Amino acid sequence: MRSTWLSSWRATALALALLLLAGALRHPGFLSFGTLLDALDDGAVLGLAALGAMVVMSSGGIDLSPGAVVALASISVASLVQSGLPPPLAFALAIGGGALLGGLAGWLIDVLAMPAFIVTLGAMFLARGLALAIHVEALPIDAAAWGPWSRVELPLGLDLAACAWLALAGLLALAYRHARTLRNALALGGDERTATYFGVPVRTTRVRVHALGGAFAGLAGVAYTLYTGKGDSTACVGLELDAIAAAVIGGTALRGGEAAVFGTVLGALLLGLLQTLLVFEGVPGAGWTRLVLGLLLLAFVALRRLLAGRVEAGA
Amino acid sequence: MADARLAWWKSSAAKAALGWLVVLAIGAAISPGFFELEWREGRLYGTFVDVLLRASPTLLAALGMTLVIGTGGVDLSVGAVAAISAVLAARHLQSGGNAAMALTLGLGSGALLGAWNGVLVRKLGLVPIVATLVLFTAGRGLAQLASGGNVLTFRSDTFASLATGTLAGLPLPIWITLASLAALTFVVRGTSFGLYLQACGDNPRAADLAGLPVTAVIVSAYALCGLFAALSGAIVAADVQAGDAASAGLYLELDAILAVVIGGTSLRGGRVQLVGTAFGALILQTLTTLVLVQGARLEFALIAKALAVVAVCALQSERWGELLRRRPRAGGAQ
Amino acid sequence: MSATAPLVELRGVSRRYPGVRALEQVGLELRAGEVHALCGSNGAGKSTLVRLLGGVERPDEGELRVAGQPVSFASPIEALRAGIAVVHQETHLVPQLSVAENLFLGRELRRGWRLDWPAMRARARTSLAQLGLELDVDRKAATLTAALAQLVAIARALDLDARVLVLDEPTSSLDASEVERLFALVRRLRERGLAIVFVGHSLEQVEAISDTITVLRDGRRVGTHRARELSREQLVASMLGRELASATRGAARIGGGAEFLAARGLGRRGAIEPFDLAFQPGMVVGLAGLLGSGRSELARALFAADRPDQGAWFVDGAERRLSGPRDAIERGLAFCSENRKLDGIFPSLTVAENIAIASQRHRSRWGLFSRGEADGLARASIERFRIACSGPEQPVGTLSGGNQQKVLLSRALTLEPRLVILDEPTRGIDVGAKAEVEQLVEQLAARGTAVLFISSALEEVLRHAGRVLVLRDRRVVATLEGAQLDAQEILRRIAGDARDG
Repeated sequence: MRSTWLSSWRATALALALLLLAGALRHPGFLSFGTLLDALDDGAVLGLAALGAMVVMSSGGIDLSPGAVVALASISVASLVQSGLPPPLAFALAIGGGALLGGLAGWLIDVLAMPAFIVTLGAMFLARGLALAIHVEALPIDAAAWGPWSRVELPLGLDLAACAWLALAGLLALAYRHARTLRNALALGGDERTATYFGVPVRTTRVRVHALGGAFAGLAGVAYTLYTGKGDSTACVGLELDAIAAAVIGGTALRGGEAAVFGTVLGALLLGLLQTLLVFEGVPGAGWTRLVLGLLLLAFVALRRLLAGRVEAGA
Repeated sequence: MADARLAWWKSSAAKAALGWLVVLAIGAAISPGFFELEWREGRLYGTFVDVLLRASPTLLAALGMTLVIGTGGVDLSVGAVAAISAVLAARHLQSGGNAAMALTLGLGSGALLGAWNGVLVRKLGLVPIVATLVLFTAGRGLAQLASGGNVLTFRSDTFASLATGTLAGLPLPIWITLASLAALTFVVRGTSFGLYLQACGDNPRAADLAGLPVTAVIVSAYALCGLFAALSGAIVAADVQAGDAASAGLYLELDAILAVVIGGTSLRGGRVQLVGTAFGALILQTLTTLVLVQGARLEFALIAKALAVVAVCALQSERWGELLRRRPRAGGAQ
Repeated sequence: MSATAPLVELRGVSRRYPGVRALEQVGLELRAGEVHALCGSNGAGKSTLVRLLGGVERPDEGELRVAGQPVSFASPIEALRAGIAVVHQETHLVPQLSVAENLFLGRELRRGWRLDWPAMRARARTSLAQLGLELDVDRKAATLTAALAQLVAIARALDLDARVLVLDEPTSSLDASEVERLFALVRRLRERGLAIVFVGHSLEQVEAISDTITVLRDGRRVGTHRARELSREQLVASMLGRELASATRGAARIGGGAEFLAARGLGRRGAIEPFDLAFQPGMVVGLAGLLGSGRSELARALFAADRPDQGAWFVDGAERRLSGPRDAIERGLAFCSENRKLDGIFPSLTVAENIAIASQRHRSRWGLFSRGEADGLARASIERFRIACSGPEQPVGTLSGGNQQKVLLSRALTLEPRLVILDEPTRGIDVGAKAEVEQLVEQLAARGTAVLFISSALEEVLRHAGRVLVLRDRRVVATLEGAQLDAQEILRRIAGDARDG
């Protein structure tokens, strides 16, 4: 039973609480409402991408394209808005594009029976290439239509992207209860053969799951644009693996079959707060952050593995 | 004999070689100077030589990756390992150390880190992607800590010659790569380890029952992968005469995996195609160089890579299809 | 037979896989209110038949009729819609989902935009209660015992209004009381008018539950009988014997010389009860018993492939603890698994590599692998066993089953073992290859190698073994030698008549 406990979001929450406690003890100003809000604002891009990664992982797959799709979406939004398109329409196009790319990858994975790893790696190069083809560098948005979007005031002072992140996490958790596609995704990730015997439409499910993952990556790209006020085709290199790390820390198993929506939110938040704390500590550079992050990841997966027993060792 | 030749033409390595020839032909067609060579100061110059030179770091890492993929695993940490190796070597040189020791430090750290990955995979039973994700994440941090967050420049002509030296008119990295390819081909085809490695990837349960030393083989495969990643990082450091924790080996893992898959080694493990991997890396680099010499923007190289992946998927799907069709037969005799 | 029209009917159904004829012109009639048992040894075609019924695969020839109408199932869903529900062996439920979630997977109840979980949970409770199960429907399937998971899978099938319920080896992981519970349920379902297919290999169970028995052997139907008209010995004979009547005793290898290997009280909980076994050079020991009687488990324990939890080995009189296959090979044992694909061959490696790999450690100097030497070994084996291949460089995955088996035998023999364990070496290979494998057993024994020979074909065991261990219910129930080695006697022991007490 301990393994169940550890693989749930509670362990992530505990780690998060310990981090906050450590921060509060060492720095009186650390544990404030402001710090938390900032962490949410800063974490939205990674958080949204991590949710997408989690969705794909819950079906037993993997997606290496989110980082590049974020860049593609952000540069698309920027260039579309600059050329006079209303921002909401640009957002919709970016998210839809992400979904389309993801769906295509899912379809190829199923039709060609190729490893998701390689197909989504291809999708990653494609998205990055398309992003660079649209615009090589960062593209700041100065179109008049952008004005109201540059800083959306919401209650509590949260960013629009952060609100969308939290709201969508809630919706996603609900959808895992009530949307048949996501129920089927869990079955697929749990045991593909049994799922087939039970009448789960495998191809449809796989395509939809990857499309949803792509949509979340597109959304993360929109969040990136809202957060930075620009599009950037070179942004978020390596984000896909951070997103997977956040999902794994949040309790998602790479083997699939389980969805850890809140855990993934907490995982992304944990990564963000870790960064903040290290800044408070005055540690220069990102070195410590990466190192601590890696150790955290190791601690989570190793503990879970040891507690779950080594029955499936080598699998 | 006829059979053997036929088999070679059907092999994945041959397919990759053919792919490279196609890309080269396109290169010759759209870029007239592509194969022009020039002898200057005792060294050959030209776009083609440039392709070989620039492909070397990726190719070296991809050779190591081929071994790991042969065991049915994958190593996401080679880029981070390359960075650590580059930084450690640079640090040693900066503080006045000698070049041989710097290289040993770099390569040794790479082999150790690789072995760590192998232990996580085999002893802790983690999925290779997650096991190596740990070092992917922490590794670059380690490199940044070792470098203090700075780009460590050094002056060491001996060490720099690793990248800039020439031998018989060709840049040294090309020779290092060729020697590595030859050495690893020998290891895979001519040693017990090579045989065991492919067997472990092909059928882990049977490997156990046949009494093979599975743990030692898998840990060694990851260690070798780390070693070659480190060599790749050292050459890049020698080239720019600096160790940069942030940029050394960036994207290296993905390019390496791509080269391996284009070369025809299955991600499910089993028979490894080192020569195929070499051609895979050359295809990727030739595409990039072509786009660059055409004055076109780099993004098209990425799109070309994406198309290469799709092409590989399509080429290999027949084989997957076969595998899938064959699978019911395993339990089908009941 | 019964006058009622069959619910489901198979007519002249064949299914072939490359190199294997899994089913050949098989007919079957399933009737409402009848439990129909499918019996047969490994490779008889039972699983293939189940897959055809469940829509997982389609026949190459022949037709499937439901209520008199010819049907063709493109997928398991279509079989379900036609009222045929299959509870597959060991793929009962999705482990991470709850009981209720599993029950309604793929057919969830809706209310408006959302899924109606309260209703599904309630209905899950009702359908479980109908089976006499009181179970927390929110429990994860992974936490259920095999028996409970099975009952839940059956509940799912019933909730789908199945008219035909196929249970593929449902009792393989159940204990006696769980089996009784399952059978009580099956009897109730029979009274409700369901047609039930029961695949099993315990004779007691088949006798206890079935009305009709169809015996399959080598992909063909041997016969269909009313259960009470068939004695247990007749049943065993039709499952195991190809030409038992003419089964001849071979050289009856009892070997000679000092006992070089012995197992004393070796056992593994849940797999095989403690057994004693000893080998002299040139001795052939046969294992006889039905599928699931513990034959492979005994072999794997002896080879330390599954570590025994009690007992010990004695090698040349000295007690040894074998830590695993590597250690066993070091002590002169060699093992050919019954599952060639899963446990034996390296499909993408060549014939030469496959043969040389096990003995590589002993032959190699400085860790080098000599291709010439491996080719030499391979050529000798190819010649000796007449392995049909284009040469030592052909990948083993592309060979036929019989030739793969010969490659595995060659591999074992390059170790120059003192004892060779052959688990179903003749399963799924053609007649010619079978004869060659049997010849090999004789040659080995003549040269002083001991052999542990496992086969579902009793006449093969009788032909070669000088001593036969009979297994039943994961226990060695008899050790027969000399004059006791008689087909009828072995059948009687396998059947477990009260006489052998």
